Amino acid sequence: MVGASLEDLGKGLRSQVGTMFGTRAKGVRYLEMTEGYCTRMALDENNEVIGYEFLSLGKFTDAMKKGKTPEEALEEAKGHYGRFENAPKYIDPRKE
Amino acid sequence: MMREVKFESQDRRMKQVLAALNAVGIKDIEEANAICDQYGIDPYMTCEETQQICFENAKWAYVCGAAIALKKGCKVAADAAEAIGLGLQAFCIPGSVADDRKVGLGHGNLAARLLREETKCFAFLAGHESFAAAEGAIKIAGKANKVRKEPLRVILNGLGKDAAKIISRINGFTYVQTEFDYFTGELKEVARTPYSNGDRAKVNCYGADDVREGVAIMWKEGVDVSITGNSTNPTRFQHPVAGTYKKERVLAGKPYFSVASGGGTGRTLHPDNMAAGPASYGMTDTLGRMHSDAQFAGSSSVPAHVEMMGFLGIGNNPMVGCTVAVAVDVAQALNK
Repeated sequence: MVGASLEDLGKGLRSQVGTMFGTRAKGVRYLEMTEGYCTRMALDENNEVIGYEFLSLGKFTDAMKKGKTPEEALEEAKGHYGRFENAPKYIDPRKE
Repeated sequence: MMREVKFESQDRRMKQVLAALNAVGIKDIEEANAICDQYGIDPYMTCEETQQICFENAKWAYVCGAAIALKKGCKVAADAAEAIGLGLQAFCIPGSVADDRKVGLGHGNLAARLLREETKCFAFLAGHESFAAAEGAIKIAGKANKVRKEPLRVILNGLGKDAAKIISRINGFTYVQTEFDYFTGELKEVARTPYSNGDRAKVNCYGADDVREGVAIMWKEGVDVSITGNSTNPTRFQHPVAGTYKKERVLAGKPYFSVASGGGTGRTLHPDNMAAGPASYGMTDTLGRMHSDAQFAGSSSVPAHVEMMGFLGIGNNPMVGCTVAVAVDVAQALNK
């Protein structure tokens, strides 16, 4: 380990560029957030975003390197932000 | 629980740590650990729970701080927090930014403020870039209220109404929409929307259009203690609001404890705020010095950055939460 940054970056982080866009017709879509690849978005009763689920590619890759199965690695690398649990509605930002 | 005493830059910290412990009649860190054990508290673990990615030196600093507080017999949580600050201060590397600013003592004093009944309202003054600050605020209020008679009110006050609304919606806070009348200087509340039913809805989140509205929001809520975030808009919003409010509170003869924190203190501004050109080097640092009662060093959240400044490997926001938590534990253990 060299310096302080590796102590942080060694924890599965990577450089990131976020991607999100919005249209008047369909609203906002999160595709890539700081935490990772966005898999699902949570919406409230008014169809407004209240959280999202992501897949941390750093953690996913680390788990695969350690010999985990893709399914296990996928589960371990998933996380969510905001009021994701028990949301009235979930959407796939790439399909819906 | 007995653990092996081993932490980052131990050789550069030991001399001051032993001096601080010896001053209250504790021989070494092992004895400090034994004292905590004896009272049935585990500050090492409390620290780890607060921020899982924190460094070993942070955990041991809380062990030493708690032992000092126990040895001094601090039955009041606010007094315990100040004593814990002595322990944290001892972990600063001599000659570092952290040592120069006495950030250990600053953290102890801030936690003590949040635990005292005189403090009614704690504000996160933010560029509204940081969701982590919000999470920190919830934790501080929750733990502090275990020993407080009147619950501590926590608010977020930041630049931008749209950002405030989104932060409220995602975190389940209450969004308070305001409108500032620039002719009369009056602040009107337009709407109030709670985005959840639980404790989180007790956190009021405001968005201001500019510094004047920001200051008016501070007065509306009667903020006694605040922390400035420092990544986005520090020169346009957080520091000017804190500084102006400080001046107005002093004129009104009222107390206000201002803390300057965040990644920008002690380094240059990031490109968003580079309008000042070369003078921007250390600009947030300078701004913080002009209004703050305590100035932290390093990031609100990243352990390595706080450590780099010569202090502990734990973010400043979690550190505030952890100091409050350990102080409450110490006071409760001594009152058993």
